[in-house]
Amino acid sequence: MKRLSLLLALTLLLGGCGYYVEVNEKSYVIALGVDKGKNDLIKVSFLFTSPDSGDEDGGGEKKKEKDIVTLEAPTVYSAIRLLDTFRSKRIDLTHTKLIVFSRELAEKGIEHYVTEFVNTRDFRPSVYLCVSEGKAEKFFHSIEPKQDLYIEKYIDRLFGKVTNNSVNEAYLYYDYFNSSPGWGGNILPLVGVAQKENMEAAETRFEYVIPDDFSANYTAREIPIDKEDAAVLCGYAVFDDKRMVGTLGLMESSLVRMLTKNLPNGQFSIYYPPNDSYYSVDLHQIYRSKINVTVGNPDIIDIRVRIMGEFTGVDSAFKSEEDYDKFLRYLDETFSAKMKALFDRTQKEFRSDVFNLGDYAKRSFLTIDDWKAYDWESRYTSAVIRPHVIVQINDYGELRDAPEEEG
Amino acid sequence: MKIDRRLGVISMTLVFVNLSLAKYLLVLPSFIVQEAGNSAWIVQILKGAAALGLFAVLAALYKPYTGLGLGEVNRRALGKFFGGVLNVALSAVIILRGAFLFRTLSEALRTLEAASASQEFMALFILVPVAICALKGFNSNADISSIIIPFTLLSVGAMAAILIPHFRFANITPILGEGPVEIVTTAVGKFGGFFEMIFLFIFSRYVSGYKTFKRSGLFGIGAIALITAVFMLMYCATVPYPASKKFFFPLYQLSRLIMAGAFIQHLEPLVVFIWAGIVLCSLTTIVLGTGELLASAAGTKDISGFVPILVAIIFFAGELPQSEIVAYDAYRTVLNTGHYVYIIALLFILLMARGRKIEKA
Repeated sequence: MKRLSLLLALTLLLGGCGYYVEVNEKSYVIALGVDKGKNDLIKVSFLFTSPDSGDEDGGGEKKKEKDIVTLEAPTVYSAIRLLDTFRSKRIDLTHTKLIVFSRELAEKGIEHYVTEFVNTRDFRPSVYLCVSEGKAEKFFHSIEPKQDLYIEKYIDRLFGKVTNNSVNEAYLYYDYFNSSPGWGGNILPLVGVAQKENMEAAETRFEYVIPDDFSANYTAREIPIDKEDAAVLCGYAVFDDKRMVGTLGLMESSLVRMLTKNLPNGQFSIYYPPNDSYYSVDLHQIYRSKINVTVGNPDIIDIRVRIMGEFTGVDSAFKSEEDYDKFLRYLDETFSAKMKALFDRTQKEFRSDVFNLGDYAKRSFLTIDDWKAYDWESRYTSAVIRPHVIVQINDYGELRDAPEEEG
Repeated sequence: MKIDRRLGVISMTLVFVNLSLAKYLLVLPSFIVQEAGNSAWIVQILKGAAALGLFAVLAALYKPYTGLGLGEVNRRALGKFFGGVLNVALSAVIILRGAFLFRTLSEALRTLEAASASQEFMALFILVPVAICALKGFNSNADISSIIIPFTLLSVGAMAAILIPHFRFANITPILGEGPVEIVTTAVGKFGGFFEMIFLFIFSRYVSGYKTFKRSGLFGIGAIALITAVFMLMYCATVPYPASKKFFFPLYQLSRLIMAGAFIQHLEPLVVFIWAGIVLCSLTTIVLGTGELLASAAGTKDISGFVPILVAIIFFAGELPQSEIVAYDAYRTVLNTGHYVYIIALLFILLMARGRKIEKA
C-alpha cells in the first residue's frame, strides 16, 4: 500500500512547467482607452509599460517615449487580437491600472464594455474606470509623469490619492456592481486635456464677480493651466442608469465626497460678503452623512452632513463670538444651498438618482417586486430633498476632537 | 475497512462539514442566489432548520443500528438481494452527483489556475490524491479534514473581516428579496436539502456511539447551515442584486474584491488552495461512503478494492458532459431531481428495520 501511495503521489510531479510563460515574454497594458470609431467600430488605445525604463530609485536608463497603440475594432478583445498581428510579445491585461471611455462613447452607454471586462479574469477588479471629456487617445498622449519615472506609478498615484477633486474608489467591480440595472445612476471620475486658452477664459466664465472656491466649479478640461495639452483628473461624469448625461465640476465633487463621508483634509477658500474678505478654512469629515428617506407623496429625503474644520490663518475680523457664529451659519447656509443646487441638477437636469438615495428608500419595502412597483426612478425627480450641512470650525487652542455626536 | 479508532463528535462533525462545504460553499450559493435573490441567506437558514429537525427524527429511528452503517442496515432490512440492489443504486446516485461536482470544480480550477491546460490534466491532480487518501482509510480522511477545516474557516473569516467596509445594508434590502413565496419554494423545493446527511448514517459504524452520532449530525448540519448562511449574507451584502446573480463562484469573486493595502490583495491563489483542499476531502469522503455501500452489498468489510474503480468511475462520469456549462447544468439538474426520494427511502428503510426487528448493532 505504501509503495502504491508513493507511486501515485509521484505522478503529481508530472506536470512540470508545461504551461509557464516568462515575464519578459509578455507585453503589459497599463491603460486602455476606448473612443468611438467609424460606423459601429470603436477606437481602442493601449498604453504599454516600458520595461527598460530603469530603476525608479535612481540609476537605470532615461525615460522612454510612451508606447501607445491605437486600433479600430468592433470590440476591445478583437482589438487585442489585432495587436497580436504586429506585437512580438503576448498581450497581458492583468496589470492594467486604468480604463478610459470617451465622453462621446459614454453618452451612448458603456454597460456592455464594462460587463465584458468584469466577466473576464484578465482585468483586476482594482482597475480604475473613468470618462474622458475628449478623446481617450489624446488623454494618453498628454500624460506627462514629471514626478514619476513610470507611467503606471503616475496613474496609480493620481487616481489612488485622496483629493477633493474626484473619487479614488472608481474601481471596475464596485462601479459595475453599483450600476446594476434598475438601481439608480452612477458617477465616474472625469479626466480631460486642459488647454492654455483656459487661462484667458477663466476670468469671464463665472457667475461671481469675485471667484472663490464655490464659483471655480471646473470640469477636467476647463482647469486654467499655463500649459498646452495638460492631462487632468477633475470632476465626475454622471450617468442616467447606463448613459452619461452630464458632468459635475470641482466644487460639486467636494459635495459628493461629503455625502459619502469621503471628504479628505483640504483647504477651502471662502469669500465672506459681510467682511468683504476671504477666509481659508481646512475642512474634513469625521461623521458619516445621515440620510433618511420617508416614502410617501411626495417622498422626503433628509440629508444631514457634519463637517469639521479650522482656520488656516489668523484673522482679527471676528470681534465677538456673535460674529464668529454668523460666519459659521454663513458656511452652513452656503454649503447647504450648494448641495441643494447639486440635488436640483440631479432631479431636473440629469433626471436620475445619481447618488443612489433609493438605497435608503428600499428599506421601507419588503420585496423586490414591491420596490420595483414603487418606480423610484421616476418618483425621485419629484422628491423633496432637504440637505442640511453643519460646519463646525475649531478655534486656535481648542482641541481638534469632534464633539459628541447628537442623536 | 479496518477501523483504527472510533471517531468522536468533533472529528465526525469535521468530516461532515468538509464533505458538505464543497457543495455549500463553492457551488450552491450561486444556485440559491439565482433563485431567491439577495434573500438567499434566509433560504439557507430555513433549510438548515428543516434539516436539523429531519435529522433528529431519522437519528431517533436509527438509534439501535448506530454501529452497523447504513449499507448493512439496508441489507438486513430488505434482505441480501434487495438490500444489495438498494446499496448499489444509492452508490450510483452518490457517485454521479460526486462526478458532476468534481467536473464542475475541476473545470473551474483549470480556468483559474491554468487556462491553457486540459481539463483531464487538472482532473488527475485532484483524483490522484483522492485515491491515495481513500486508500489510507476513513480515519486518515478524518485527520486531514480536521486540519483543512480550521484553515478554511479561518480564511473565510479573514475574508469576511477584510470585506466589512464593502458591506452595504442596502444590498440586502428589501429584506425578503424575491418574496416569501420564492424563499419558501427555493428552501423546500430545490437543491436537495441536506442530502449529505445520508453519509452520517453510512459512516455510523465509525463513531463511538449513538450520542456521538447524533451530536455530530446535529452539530455538523448546524455548522454548515450557519457557515453557508453567513457566507451568503456576506456575498449578498457585498454584491448588489441583480449583479449578485451573475457570478458562478461567489467565493472566488469575493476573494478578487479583497484589497487592503498593497500587500493584502491578489489572494485568489490562496482561495484556490483552500478550494482544492475542500474538494479533495469531499471527494475522498464520497469515494469512501460509496465504497462502504458497495462493500456491504458484496458482504465484505474491506473497501480498498473498490477505491480505484470508484475513482475511475468519477473521472469517466465527470467527463460525460461535453463542456463546463453542460457539466454545470447537469449538476444543477442532479441536485434538483428527486431529492426527497433519498430521505423518504431512508425513512422507509428505518421503519422497515424497526418493523422487522432486525438484529441490533
